[in-house]
Amino acid sequence: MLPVLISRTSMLTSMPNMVNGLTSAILGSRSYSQDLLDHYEKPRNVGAMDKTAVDVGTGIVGAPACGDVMKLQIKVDDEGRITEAVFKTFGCGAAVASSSYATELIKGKTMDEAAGIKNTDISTHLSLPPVKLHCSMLAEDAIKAALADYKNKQKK
Amino acid sequence: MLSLKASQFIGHNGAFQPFGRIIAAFQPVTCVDSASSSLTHFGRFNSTFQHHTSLHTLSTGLSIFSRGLVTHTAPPDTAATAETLPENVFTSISEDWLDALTCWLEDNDPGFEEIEYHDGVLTFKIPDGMTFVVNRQTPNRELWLSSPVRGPSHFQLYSVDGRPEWIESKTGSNLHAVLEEDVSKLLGVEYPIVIE
Repeated sequence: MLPVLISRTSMLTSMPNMVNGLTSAILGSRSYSQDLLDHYEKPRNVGAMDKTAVDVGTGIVGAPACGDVMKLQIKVDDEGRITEAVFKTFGCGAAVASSSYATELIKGKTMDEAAGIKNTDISTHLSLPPVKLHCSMLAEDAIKAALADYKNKQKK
Repeated sequence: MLSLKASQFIGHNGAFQPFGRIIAAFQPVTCVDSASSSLTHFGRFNSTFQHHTSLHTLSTGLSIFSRGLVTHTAPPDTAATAETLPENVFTSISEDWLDALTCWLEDNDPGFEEIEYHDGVLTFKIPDGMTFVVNRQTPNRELWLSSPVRGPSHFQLYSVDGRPEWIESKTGSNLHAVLEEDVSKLLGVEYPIVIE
């Protein structure tokens, strides 16, 4: 499980920054789909926003002990549309890819549309193997957590 | 506030021993055949509780345990957590449950393409390549299921009449029932699963 060990040395940072060509060599033997590998090697929207900003919603799900932690942040405009989404994930390739794809999915959507995103949307697109379906569930939870945090902030 | 380590609960014979008053021997039983009960140790644990205390279920045993860790009693129908159930006990319970399930699948094989169980991960394939995975998730004291029918779900550990039951918090589904339903659906015939 080398990829997992490597990613654990860099908390909340996506892997490809550290191990560029190595990843597909390692992951190739796991038969991850091309889409998944693509998101893993070239993740979209890695980054962080100011979590104290009033137009930012932050969702943190998972736990290091469980092997996966995802932080997903959204920026919402006055019309309730998600203009920006970023993520940082600590975990396996499928977890990184799931959260990367999640940020792609929600950008440009309204909050209601984003809330309607299901783990199956993510797992089907990435062709996640059975044992990694949980990663897509975690990504769905991360989206919902970010939306909930944003809504909470608006109440205050 | 008392801070108790799991090691304090292991008695001289290596058995889980809350407060030193109750001795329960968790001896994992290797599955011989589906007729023999892989979880009989659970029954022994149960009866030991009955002998030494007025408790009847593991869950109230959990509440005794948690009474030591926090200053209140956990209600008997709460899910096990890392705070209320030591890791080795959880491992033992989940190991036996998954072992019993594996034995059942092996003994009642309708043509599975693969049945593999090791290290707390059970994988079995329906003909046509649909794969089920049931694995232990120790930090959360849960069993995780990946089903080709309904996708991923997490099941927390409860004690119901002294038997371990795995219940999903979101839907209230029981893992045992979910497996029966999903396997039956894919096989096209009713496939009951008996976990002793």
